[in-house]
Amino acid sequence: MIVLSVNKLSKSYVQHHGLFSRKHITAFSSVSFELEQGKTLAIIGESGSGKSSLAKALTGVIAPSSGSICIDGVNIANKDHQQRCRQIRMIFQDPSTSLNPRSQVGRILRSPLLLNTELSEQEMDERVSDALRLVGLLPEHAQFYPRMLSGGQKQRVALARALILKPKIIVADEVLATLDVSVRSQIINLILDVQRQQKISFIMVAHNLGIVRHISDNIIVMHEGQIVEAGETAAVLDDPQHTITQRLLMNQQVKFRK
Amino acid sequence: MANHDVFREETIRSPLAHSWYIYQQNTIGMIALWALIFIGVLALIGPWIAPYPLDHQDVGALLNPPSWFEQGEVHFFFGTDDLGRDLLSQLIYGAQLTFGGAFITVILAMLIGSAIGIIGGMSRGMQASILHHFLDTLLSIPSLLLAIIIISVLGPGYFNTLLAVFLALLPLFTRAVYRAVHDELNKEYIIALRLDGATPLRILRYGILPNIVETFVSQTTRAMTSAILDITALGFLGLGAQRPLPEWGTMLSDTMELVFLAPWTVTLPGLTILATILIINIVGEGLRQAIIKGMD
Repeated sequence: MIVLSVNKLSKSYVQHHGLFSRKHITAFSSVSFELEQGKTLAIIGESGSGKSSLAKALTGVIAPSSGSICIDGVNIANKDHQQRCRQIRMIFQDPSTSLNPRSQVGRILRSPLLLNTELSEQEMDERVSDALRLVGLLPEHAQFYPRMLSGGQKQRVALARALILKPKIIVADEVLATLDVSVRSQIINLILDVQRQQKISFIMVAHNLGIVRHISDNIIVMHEGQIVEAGETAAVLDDPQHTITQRLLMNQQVKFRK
Repeated sequence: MANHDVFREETIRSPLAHSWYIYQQNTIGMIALWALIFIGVLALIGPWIAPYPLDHQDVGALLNPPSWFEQGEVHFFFGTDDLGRDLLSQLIYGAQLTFGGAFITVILAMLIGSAIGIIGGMSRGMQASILHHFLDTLLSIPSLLLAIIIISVLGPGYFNTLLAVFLALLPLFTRAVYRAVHDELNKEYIIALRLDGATPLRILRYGILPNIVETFVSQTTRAMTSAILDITALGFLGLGAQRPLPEWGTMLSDTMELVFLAPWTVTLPGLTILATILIINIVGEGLRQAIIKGMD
């Protein structure tokens, strides 16, 4: 079952240089892909290839210039955050900047519930406890402030915040890049567990091809705002057709050999 | 008695409570805070505790030195000036005029200036741009000069001084809060809050305001210092409060010609101004450091 279908999505913006000269910059253009329920799509590419912008446009941090984002056949490209966030949620790259340092974890998790559901206080507390347990934390952590948590725990809170509205799709923007290796594998296993339990589709922006091969079903390779190669992860990584994909693979294999 | 606390209960302090806990470890800061409270109380109840009324002149005791001198008398603790007015009473009354006036002015400037700053910071495009450049122009003029310009239009007087200082402080607050809000809006946790579907008001209340407390504290301290300096400077230049109002700067200028004959009439008001500003800065800097430390 196809949950998300993105059709000819583009984003370009104008950069002003002084009074009269302006430059049109294209972050990405004519991006189309589909995502099935419970599957993981990985977006890879060099830095500056538009993969982060694409993730932001999907979740509504930036508005796309043209194209459509359909979830279950409904176009959400121009809808407001409230309608969007029950369907698609985002996890940011760095958990230490994406959690408000002056808010308790409980309040951070309650805020989406408060704004988007009509639950009573007690039901909200239950949902917060459930979400914390789901990501391997304790209900007591709701009293904590982000500064008291470790990096891995913060990322778990960020995942709980994404999960708490029970969305269909979660977009993760390089969530694993800032974590160290042991915590990284914990979080990967956690994501895979949650995905199996709740049938959530993931879109992962990543650059570590080892992890990408491990967790994703499909892959998109981006270069200068365009999709240059797409397909099933195993097929693409085993037999890359485009030079960019080959180069990316070579880069990382060289690293492994040393 | 036996101790029943088998497990030490760890209470979780909020960042602000934690900052206050850190501030309490700062001995000099705490001394300064108590001194500041003392000055505040003086400003509040000064007229009731001053030993002599404001218009009291003792013709029998002109230019009495302070009580620790040989010719001094203890019922004129800080001595008297050339009209036989008790210096201690004058300084206590002056606390209301200088410190109290500065305090009210700063609070008002903070409320109104911050409100403008928040509106400017939360809005985008033309509105924000106009505010931005207009305030930049105002900020290029030193606050004392700005106050003198305003006084020259309104005419000298204590109330006009406060008004001028208020108007001079306004852009300072607006600019600082505008910048802080603007910086805050680009943080990831604010974007996350926006993605939750939060209204701008909610983003402001839970996302931005708790994170710019440090700006408020440091800005208020700076404004308080500059307000006291401006009020006393205008008083000293004869543009502010006029005698017989015992505003500290006015007292200084009034007794300038007595500096060789009766140095205490000049040094004591001067030292009072110095001490007050020092205390405010110690408290403000201590609070700022504590808030920054309390964050992590």
